[in-house]
Amino acid sequence: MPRQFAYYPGCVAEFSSKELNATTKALAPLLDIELLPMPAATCCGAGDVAEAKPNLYLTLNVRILSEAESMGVDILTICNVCTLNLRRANKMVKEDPRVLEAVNEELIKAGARPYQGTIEVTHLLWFLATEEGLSLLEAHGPKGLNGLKVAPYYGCQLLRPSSVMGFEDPDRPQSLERLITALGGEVADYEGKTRCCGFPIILAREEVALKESHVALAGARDAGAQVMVTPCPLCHLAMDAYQRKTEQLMGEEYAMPVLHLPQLIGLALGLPTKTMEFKRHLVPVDEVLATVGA
Amino acid sequence: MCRLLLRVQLPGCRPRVRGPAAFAWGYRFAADERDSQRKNRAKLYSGEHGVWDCTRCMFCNERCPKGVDPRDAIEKLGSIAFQEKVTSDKGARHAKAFLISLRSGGKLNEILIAPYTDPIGAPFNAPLALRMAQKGKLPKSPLTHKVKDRDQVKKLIKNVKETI
Repeated sequence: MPRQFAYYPGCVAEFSSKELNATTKALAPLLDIELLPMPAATCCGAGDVAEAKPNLYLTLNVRILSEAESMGVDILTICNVCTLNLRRANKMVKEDPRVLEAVNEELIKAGARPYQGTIEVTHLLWFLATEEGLSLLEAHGPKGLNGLKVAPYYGCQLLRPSSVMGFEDPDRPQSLERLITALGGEVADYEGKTRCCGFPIILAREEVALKESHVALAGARDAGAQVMVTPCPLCHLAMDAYQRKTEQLMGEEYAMPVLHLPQLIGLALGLPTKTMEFKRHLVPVDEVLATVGA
Repeated sequence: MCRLLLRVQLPGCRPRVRGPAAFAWGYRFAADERDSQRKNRAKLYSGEHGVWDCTRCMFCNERCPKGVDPRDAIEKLGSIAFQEKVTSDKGARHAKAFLISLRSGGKLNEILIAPYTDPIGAPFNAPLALRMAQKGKLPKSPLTHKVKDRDQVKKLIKNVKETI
């Protein structure tokens, strides 16, 4: 019996980064998990709604949690930002019954189901970086990454604040490293792996954002990485889609292909490359595929 | 008072700018009911190097040994700016684009967000937009994706009041 999750891919994975959604869905049966759709789930607000209207942010996110509760399963995400927003809202209502009561009052008035506080939210990385997840990968007998040198890039919001996220040490995370090693890759370690990609302000303050992503891209390049992997589609956009702009601004060349986490796992498990839609990346991944033998 | 985060050095060659601790102190006054300068403070913290420059890296909340949670204060200053209708900054317009998306369908409208955030600068990003479109990274339809029971979402947007 596969483990069931309410699947919350988030807006970016559903639209501009469809390759992430497609790969995750294709990977799920190989990992013995079933992804149940959440048809009523809205955008989590990505920190923007929390910044403009904090009470609305909380109510909308609790409505999403309540939909999963009605399905009787926990939520699985593939985006750092969605994970933080949903977990933060969950923590706020679970820790204070008065907040839960006030939010439920609004939900009932709007005709939505009230939330009882029984749901947990986890990211695919967290699910796989546990003993249970790693044994699932081993059971499948990974084809392997053939020693591909991979730079892990965590981004911010899967690590911090640790009072909300709490899966691992935010300064010395090891989950991506454990997965890369288990899949037969080599870790390219560098200081910028827990730094910000700048994406949340890339449209409003492009130069600041690009200088942030430069720190990670240059760090990964200097560590000799052949490819960068990230658990967040927003970080992916900053590192992949905006990479040429960052090169132009900084006067440097990175030539760094960037994979979504499920794509790296898919390569190791022998998922067809066409399924993973690498053609949608702006930085070509041909050399990565050649190393892995895909 | 925290002097470590009063001003910070961002990556690159920018001068040191207003840091998270300054916003935490700004919020302390802006949220004070006895203070008559709420709108002026919202303007003060909404310009360049203001609340909309925050990348939400969460380092300030993570590091603060006193539990001040400066990022939360930045967020609340943003909310005060919205309540006082100080929303002309590109960062505030970015947040407005999210609210419009939620109201019209429930999911983020990626066609809307760039031109709405920066109507003047968006044309200069046309080469990147074109490259992204060629790779299928821009939605083909400008219509917002609609979630089930979106009347609930509309009611929440209308009913939920901000209380800061």
